[in-house]
Amino acid sequence: MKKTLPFALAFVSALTITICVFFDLAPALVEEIDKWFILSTAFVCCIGLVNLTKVHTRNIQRRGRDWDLSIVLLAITFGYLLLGVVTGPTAPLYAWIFDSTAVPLGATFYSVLSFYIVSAAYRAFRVKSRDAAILLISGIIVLLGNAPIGEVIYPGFGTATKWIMDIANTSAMRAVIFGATIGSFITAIRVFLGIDRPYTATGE
Amino acid sequence: MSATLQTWLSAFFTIAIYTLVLYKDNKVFRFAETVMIGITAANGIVLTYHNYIKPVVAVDIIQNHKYLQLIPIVLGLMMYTRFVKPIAWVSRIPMGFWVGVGAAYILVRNPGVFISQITASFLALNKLNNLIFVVGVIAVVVYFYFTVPIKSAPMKGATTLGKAFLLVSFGATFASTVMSRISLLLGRLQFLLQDWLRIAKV
Repeated sequence: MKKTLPFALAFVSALTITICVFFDLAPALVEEIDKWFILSTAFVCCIGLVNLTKVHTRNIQRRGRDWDLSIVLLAITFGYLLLGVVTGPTAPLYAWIFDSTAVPLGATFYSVLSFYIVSAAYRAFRVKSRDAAILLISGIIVLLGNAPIGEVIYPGFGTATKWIMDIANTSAMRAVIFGATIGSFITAIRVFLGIDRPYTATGE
Repeated sequence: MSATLQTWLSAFFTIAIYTLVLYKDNKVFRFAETVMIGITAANGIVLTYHNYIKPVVAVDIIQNHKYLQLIPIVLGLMMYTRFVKPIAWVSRIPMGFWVGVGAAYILVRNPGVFISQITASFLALNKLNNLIFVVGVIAVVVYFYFTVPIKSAPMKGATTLGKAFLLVSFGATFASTVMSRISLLLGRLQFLLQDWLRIAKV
């Protein structure tokens, strides 16, 4: 029951969709399964919230590290959630709070990475081998090709960058996509046949 | 709400995040981080509720009496059993459904895209760039061939060439990432100097 039922559901749903799509049968059924898939995943949206609440409530009870911030986190999360559920995501107050907090915070978090990326670049681009030299040359050409100063130093940087992005980069990434797609096919077949059962680990 | 207050709040949160880099891990940074997590988590649930849950429950089930829609709702709710140890295994049932549907879509929807990508990769060899492109694709595919040990000289040459193509690609990707992050940094600095402090002209 614990292992057979999930496998049976996985097999039946996979077989139904495969037969229906391959042989162009019962498009309404496929559409309904699509809808079920989206709706069932939508109902899982609170699972992270339940976990977050559990972890931070325990932290507050134990007076753990930054327990005061745990209170702030729960207050902000539930307060904003309540506001959103009652007023809707397009309400002026809801949008104003989002634009004042999440928008600048998101952009700043990503921009902070530019500081760390510089130190990573120093380590990655130290020319110790032929491979590192290729990485360095390609990186510098693309950097200068995209920056306005590059065109001032040498007008050919723009053309070289376009060549690297269109030819070398695209051909390498195309081959990587081939590998990943073949890997996903094999995984799908293994799941279909029940050789791989990733879902049976849940709840152990 | 006032635009000035919004600018000041945005400026506060921007500086709060930069204190991590300019100073070290501190309470102000962690407060900003907390606000980010709280707002983002709540926003995700609010959007899911208004876009998916509310229309189905209010319109499909209550108004139109489409009671079959209760099945996916029950499937979704089964995931919460993982918080109750004795019945945690029940959460495997929706996982089985999602994995099965996901596997089926990979099998039935991906081949079309995959085959069109293969066709697009093998260009007519009438230009030098086309030749380099095709050689690059084949060389990188050979580089990822791990089934048997590569010993012959032509295969070794192909893997070396494939690795070179990959390195050029990684260098280009790294440079593009640096550029996008620097652009974001400039955007935040521009906001602080122009919109908040008003010491730089647009």
